[in-house]
Parts: sequence; C-alpha cells; structure tokens
Amino acid sequence: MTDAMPITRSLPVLVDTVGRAQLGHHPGPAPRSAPLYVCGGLLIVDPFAPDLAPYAEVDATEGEGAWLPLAYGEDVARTLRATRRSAAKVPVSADDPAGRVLARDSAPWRPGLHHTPLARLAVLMWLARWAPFPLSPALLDIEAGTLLAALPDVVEDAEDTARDLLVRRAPDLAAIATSVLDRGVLAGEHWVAALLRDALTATAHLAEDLPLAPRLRDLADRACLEAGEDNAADTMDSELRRLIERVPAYEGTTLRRADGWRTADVDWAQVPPNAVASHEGAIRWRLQGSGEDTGIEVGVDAADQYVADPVGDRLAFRVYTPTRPLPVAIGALEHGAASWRGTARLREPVHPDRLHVDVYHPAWASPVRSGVAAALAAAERQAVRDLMVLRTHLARDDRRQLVRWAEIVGADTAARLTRIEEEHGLDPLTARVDGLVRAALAAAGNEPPDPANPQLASSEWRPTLAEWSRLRPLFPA
Amino acid sequence: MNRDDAARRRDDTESVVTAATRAWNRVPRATRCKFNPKGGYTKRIWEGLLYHVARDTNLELRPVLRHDSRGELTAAQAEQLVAAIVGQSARLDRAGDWVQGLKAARGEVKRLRAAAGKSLPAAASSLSHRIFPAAWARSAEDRAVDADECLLLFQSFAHDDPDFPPPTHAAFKALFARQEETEALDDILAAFTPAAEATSDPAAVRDAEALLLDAPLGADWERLWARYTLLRPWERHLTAVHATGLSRHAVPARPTVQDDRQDDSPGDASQDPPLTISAEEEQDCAGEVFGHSESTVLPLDRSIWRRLDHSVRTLASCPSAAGLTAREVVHEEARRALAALGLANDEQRAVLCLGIVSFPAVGAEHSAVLLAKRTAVPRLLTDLAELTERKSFVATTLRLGAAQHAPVRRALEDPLPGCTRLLWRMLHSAEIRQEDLPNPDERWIRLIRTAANRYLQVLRGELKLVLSGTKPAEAEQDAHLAGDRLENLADDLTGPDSTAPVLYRGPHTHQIVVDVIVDGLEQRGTTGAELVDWVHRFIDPLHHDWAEPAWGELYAEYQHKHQGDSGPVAFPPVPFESARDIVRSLYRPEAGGLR
Repeated sequence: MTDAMPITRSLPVLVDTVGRAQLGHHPGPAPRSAPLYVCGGLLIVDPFAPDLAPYAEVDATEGEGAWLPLAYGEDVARTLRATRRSAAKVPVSADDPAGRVLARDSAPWRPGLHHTPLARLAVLMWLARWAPFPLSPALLDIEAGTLLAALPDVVEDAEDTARDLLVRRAPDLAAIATSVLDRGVLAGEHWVAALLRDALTATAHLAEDLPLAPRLRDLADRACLEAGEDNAADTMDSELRRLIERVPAYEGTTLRRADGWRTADVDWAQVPPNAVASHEGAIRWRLQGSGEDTGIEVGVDAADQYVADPVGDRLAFRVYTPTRPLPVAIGALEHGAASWRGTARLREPVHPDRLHVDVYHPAWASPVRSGVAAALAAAERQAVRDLMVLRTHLARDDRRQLVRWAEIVGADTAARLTRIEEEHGLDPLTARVDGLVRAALAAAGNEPPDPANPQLASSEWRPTLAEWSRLRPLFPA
Repeated sequence: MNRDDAARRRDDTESVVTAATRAWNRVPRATRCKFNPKGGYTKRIWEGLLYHVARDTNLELRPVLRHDSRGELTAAQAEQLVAAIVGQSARLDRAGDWVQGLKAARGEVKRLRAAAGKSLPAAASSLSHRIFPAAWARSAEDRAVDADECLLLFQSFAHDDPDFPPPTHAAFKALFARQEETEALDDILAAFTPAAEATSDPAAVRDAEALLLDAPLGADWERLWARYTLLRPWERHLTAVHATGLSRHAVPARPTVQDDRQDDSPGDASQDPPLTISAEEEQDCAGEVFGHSESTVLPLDRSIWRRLDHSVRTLASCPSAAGLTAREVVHEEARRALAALGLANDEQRAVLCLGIVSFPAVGAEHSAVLLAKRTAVPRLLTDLAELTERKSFVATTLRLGAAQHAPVRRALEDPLPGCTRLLWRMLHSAEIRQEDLPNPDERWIRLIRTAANRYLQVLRGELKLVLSGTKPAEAEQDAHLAGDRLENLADDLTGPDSTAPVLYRGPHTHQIVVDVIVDGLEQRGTTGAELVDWVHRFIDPLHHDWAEPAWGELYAEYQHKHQGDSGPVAFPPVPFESARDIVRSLYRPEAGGLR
C-alpha cells in the first residue's frame, strides 16, 4: 500500500457566543464516533472514514496554539483565528441564546502532520470498545502508548500515559519482538515492522531506567533491518466467515423456533465489550410453567474468549410487555460453559409474542430500544461488523474480497439503512456506508476514486498491531 | 440530560406554546384531568392558568410572556417556563380542586337561575376565563375547598370584571385620565409605599410613565409594563397598583431567601434581611455576617445564599453603584462584603456570579446585577454544560459504562442549582492557579473550566483505566481506587446532609425497586395510564419534592409487608437517588412501541 495524496476539502468553521469553535461535521452518536480528548477540546474521528477531516470542538481559551495546525493544517488554524476575530466584532445581546453562532467560515483542509497518529489513536480506542471480537490488550496498549508518545503537545498528559502503558507492557513487547524477529514473521510486512520499531524505540526512550531498555534498543535496531520468511498460519478465516455470514434483516425482537426457544438480539450499547457473543440472535429464551407461576429462562452466548472480569460479571436481563412502563421480570445471568444463563418469574402471565427480552449490565443500562430504534441498532451493529471485515480485507490487501464485500454490503447493510432512514429520518451512517462501498470498489480498481469518499489506501486505514496479530500471531507459540 | 434535551438546548428558540405544552404534560395526569377531562393542553389552559402561573412564579419571564401565548422563548427561558410550571404541581393540584368546586357551584347557580327562569350570564359561562384564574388565586392558601365560598365566588363572576386580565390599555388610561397628571401617580404610589424606600432614579421612572401614557392603543403593553416595573421595586408597584384598584390580582409573595441551613431558629434576622443597610449595620456585617462571628466563620457553602443576598443588597443600596458594569459590581462586592473573610479572590467572584443567577430575588432589584445575570453567567453556565455534555458523550461512545455517575447526572438534569453547588464545592476545595491572563473574561472562564475539569478528570481516569488493560487484580485495585474517587466526589458534591448516592447495584436491587413501586401502586389501585404517569413523574427531576417522600412511603410499606414473624427481611437499603437512577434505566418510553 502507498499513502494517498492529501486531498483538499472544504471544512466549515463556526464560533459561537460561548467562544467555542466547531470544525467540520459531527459524525453522530455511538458507534459512529471515535472521540479523543485533546488539549482544550475534543476531536471526533469517524471510524468509518478516519482519513477524512475529523470534527473538533475547540474551547475558547486553551489549546488552539499548538495542536490545531498539526491536526488540521495551517489554513484551518488561520481561518479559525480570523473567524474568532469576526465573532468578537458581532454585538451580543443579553437576550441571545448562549450557543448562538456568531461567525462562520470555511477553510480548505489538508491533513496536518499529526492527523494520521491522531486518527489512528482514536480508531484504536474505538476498536478496543466496539470490535466484535476481543483484540489483544497488550498490543492495544503498546500501540496506544506509541501513538501517545508521538503526540505530546496534542493529547493532555500524553507522555505520562504513554510511559504508564509502555512500561507496564515492556516485558510483553520484548517477548513479542524477540519471537517475531527470531521467527521472521515480519517478512514483507514493512508497516508492521515500522510499528514495532516505533514501539520499541518509544519504550526504550520512556523507560530508560528499566533493565530491559538496552534489549529493547537492540530489538528496535533488528526490527529496522531484519526480514524473514512469511510462514505464519492464517488464523482469521473462521472468524471472518462468521462475520461475513449475513443475518436476516431485523424483524422484531423474537423469532419463533421449533423447540420452544425464541431468540432476541443484544444491544451492544448496554453490555461491556467482549462479554457476550457479537452475532445477532445471541439471546435465547423460553417460558416455563403457566398461570401465576410462569417463569422465563434466558441464555446468552458468551464471547469466545471471554475472561471473567470484576466489572463484567453482573449481566442481567429484563422482560417488557407493550403496556407496562417497567419490566415484568428481572433476573441475573450467571456465566457458565460458553454461555450466560438465568431465570426469573414473570409478574403476570403474558403471551410470549408480546414479550421483549433485553440483556443489559447495570452499569451500562439505558432505556430499552424497541421498534425502529431497535432496527437501527441492529443495522449499526451490522455496519460495525462490516467495517471490521473491510479492515481485515485491507490488512490482507485482498482486492477480490474487497469487491465481494462491496457487493454484499451495498445490497444488504446499505439498503437496510436506507429503508430505516426513510422511516426514521436522516442518518449520516447511511451515507457513510454507501461511501465505503464505493471506496472499496475504488480501492479494488473497479471504480474511479471519489475525493468525497474515504481513501482506503491511506495510512489511517492500515491495521493496528492488534488486528494484524489476528491474521499472523505475533505472540510466541 | 437525555438526547432530546440536548437537541432542544442546541436549538436557538422554542415557541411559548411548545414549551407550555411540554410543561403541562409533565404535571401529574390526575391534576391535569381536574382542569380538562382528557388532561390535554389547550389554549384556554394557557390563557386561564399557565400564563398566570408563570407570571406569578417567575419574574424574569414576565416581559416575554403574552396572554395570547404568541412569541418565542430562548432555550433557557423555555426551561425556566417549564420549571416554573412543573414546580407548582402541588399548588396546581389544589387549584384543580377549586376548579372542581367552582364547576359544582356553576351547576348550582345554573340550576337556581333556571328555576327562576333566567339563564347564566355570558360573562360567567366561560370556565377557563374566570374559573381557572380564580382557582389559581385561591390555591395560594393550603386549605380545603369551601363549597359556600365557591358559590359566592361564582356568583361574583356574573358581574363584569374590568380589571381582568391584568393591566390593560383601558385600565391605565382610566387611571391616568382620572389623575390627569403624571405626578399624580407618584402621589398614589407614595401613599402606599414605605417612606424608607425612595425612588432611586425619578427621571427614569417618569420617562417610563410618559411612555405608558403616550403609547398607542396597539402598543406592546406587556413590554412597557415590564420596563416600568424594572425601574422600581416590583413589589412596591404591585402593591400600589393593587391598592389603587388597578388590578384585583393578589400581590404575589416576594420570593424568600432560599436557605440551606437546617439549624436556624425561626425569627433569625438573617431570614429577612433589611432592604437597606446603614453604614453601621454594614460595619457590623463585615465582622459578623448574619450572626456568625468572624472567628467562627462557617463553611461558606452553608451560608452562600444569605451571603449573596446580604452583599448584593448592600451594594444595591449604594448610590455610586448605579453606573457600574456587571463585572465591577462583582469586584466591588468582593472588595466590600467578602474582603473581611479573606476570600476576595477569583473563586469567590466566580461563585458570587453563579450565585446571583441562582437567586432571582436579588437580581431583580438592581439593573447592574440583572445585566450580570443575563450576560456573563449564562455564558459561563452554558460553557460548563457543554463540557459536561461532552464528557457524557465520550463515555457513551466508548462504552465506558458507569461513567455517567449519579451526581454528575443530577448536575446535568438540574443544571442551575446543580452547577452552582458543584462549582462552589470545587472552587472552595481547590487551589486555583493564579495565572496571568490579559483578558478578565478569559480569566473567569478559565476559572470555571478549571473547576469543571476537576471532577471530569475522574471520568478521564476511568478511560485510562480501561485503555490500560490492567490485569484483573490490578484492575480490581484500580477500580476500587476509582470507586473511592467517585465516592469522595459524591460526598463532595452532595454534602454530608444529603443521601449518599449508591453506585449501580445488581439486578436483585433492580427487582426490589420495581416490586416496591409496582406492588405499592397496584395496592392503591393505580394501573394503566396512571402507572405510566406515576413512573414518568418519578424520574422527572422537577418533581423531586414529590418523588422523594413518595419513594420513602412505598419503600416503608414494602418493608413492612415483608416483615415476617422472625423479624424484618434483609433488604439492601435503596435511597431515593439510587431508586430514581434505577427506574430511569429500566423505564421504557411509550414511543416506538414493541413489535
């Protein structure tokens, strides 16, 4: 892959009465946004288009000096200064709403010097929370620490955080680097070798007092020079097949099955990451008994690599009927072999067709989503799965699969979102998925590239260490 | 703050009708049905009831409210309108009882007149036009509805009441035509005004009076009246106007100083501070503020309201303060009233500024303070709200779980007192860095932001914890530390007197909360739409005063019911705040029904 040429795009710049500046367009609520705190503001990268201009809220008094030109380029920084001056001249009445826009302008955007590490860091954090499969925490830490070390003036406390992460992971890093360099796993993987080299260099620099530091420096030198035979097994196929497998469009909360069990979907926003399986229909439930003693038995598929966690051990389920504002049953779920299970008694006998079963964690709980909102949530989950598959194809640089992906997603997810949009109102995710489909076709050479769409060849789209590791394990066998 | 609220806040304006409908729908359904069989909002509800409720309870809204419900409100004004109406739910319920009584009287009058071969006069036929305002006025006193009084009251409707609705062009013209000279108004007012209260700027008052006199028939009388009352202490004018027969409206009680001290004895002079303070009194106050000697200064958060009240009143009485800008007022206040306490610094000024906005009675009396309320402080509060909303967004987007901590949510739901309290606590406990910023505005905003960031750092700490991917043992330890931080923060925010919020509990507690509510209400025969309405009100922050005792009552009943022979069954203690948080997360909105 080669870096795409930076493309000039116009970026809106607004300043309101509070003095806050807004740059770009907001990608929308979770999971459409990958937020990142920066000094004196918030940067929101679109995980579906990390190479495009991020959205930023820049506070009035801080932070504009150092990072804005680095993230957005000089043109945008200059335009913002001019817009602020214009805003200062606008008379503000006491009756004005505090958030009224006082001045607006637009500026040509080219990615700043720090755009790539910022976008990668934001996407990395997003992947850690939204990827439908667990990624290696050690590799996530190592890459996050490396990126933070490169952004000392942009992210608040970046250096301290980077030091914390990298020092803690230094032994892991040394073991991984030794293994892959000894086995020659990095043959032809210049991008991954460069990531590993940067991680080793940053760790050796930030953890100078560690006994491991000299070894890390040696490994960094080797990572620059060494290359070997790519003989690692491709372990991603089975996972990818599961992700590619399409699920029926959302038709409601339950589907009748022959054995009396019904299925329902997990709303990802209400459970911790990597606690339950990521496929649709992960909840199974059936009624037991009759009359006043009617109970409900619920099972939820656990994530493949679920590791018991003090925070994640409190999953529960709740059962709603259309007429009651509060659940008619609440029960705890216990983690057993490959699944979560629990039972509860229903407050009143209800026909199973009228029940809605919702799995949640008490600390993640939000009002239950049903009807069109649930269909939209299902489409969001599908879009996240599609994005992960796309990133995998990109990591493999597999053009045939890119075309196939574009055909499937264009016919399914994009069409599904369009239908919901017609019923539910405008949703930026629809345009974003459409854009990705065209971008995938362009990356495969089947369509001319469109500057308005993401450029999949750009470095922001390159896989993280953790994703790459799923294709070619970096850890010692 | 939910997504709808955030979206509404981003909108610049909202029509009065929309805001009033929103407010009306948050009033208990049973109360609403007393005014209207279906409980819905109608134009008559506004004209006959809500218009008067809003005017009587929120002085700041008076200039922007119109009897015909036309007009637009800013987002802040709309929220004030909603809060003003929903905050009167209890009194509205009493008013509803009076409406029922008056309706019964109407039937009685109708029957008596029909027996005498007469129909009901047209003036008395409209329920909302006459009955609603009368019921609202009667509901000021907390007493049972008197059928005889209702009958007398309704009979009085048979006579035309020229003074309703309040000040009209005709009424003003009649008054001034009778007196023929503008000075006569001053004479009338002086007769009903204590001698100690001299008009601060007679020329300005005369100008406003002249405007009133010269205004054409189609003039905006509400605006003229608002301008006029702004120049003179409003209660004095209203008393005078009322006494001269210009209006039969009862003079609304002046808002009293909100006092968060529980240990004050009744009759404490500080509960009713004098409107003017002499130099000697001021000297006394510098050394002993409201009865507390300098050597034993209480924590400022315990008496912030009365300190603000005292200091701003003192300043307002100073003739030289008339031309001061908002910032100068605050600086002057800090220099004069608070220097003796050694707190005449930025944090004091910031808190003072925020206190002013939370204290409408003070601000209404001094135009400079009013200016401060309407410019600087909303700006700072908006800034803070944006910050908190941003943190909330990040927590949701990154699936951080319990980052929406209860006190933070409370501050978001109840922004004005929540933010004030929060900032005060933060500012009081923190050492604010004194950095040289050339622009005083920047210095102020920086100060507020520093305080806001302190508690938001806790959330950031959580983010780091999650990203760090610590081993389970370390994570547990870190989680405990984070939990401690949150609990300390909770104490810091809510104070020792309030119920300590409980972090998220397991499904067992959720089940108990649902059982307490559903069992308790079903036992009372509350089902269907009433149950939905009850739950909706329970999670509404504006119904806090009703919801907290309601929860206590249901919970006590539940405990009593499950008390066996061998003693009470052990339940986890579920304070109101936790119960409300749990219900909020379990509540299923009606919209978008299940398929």
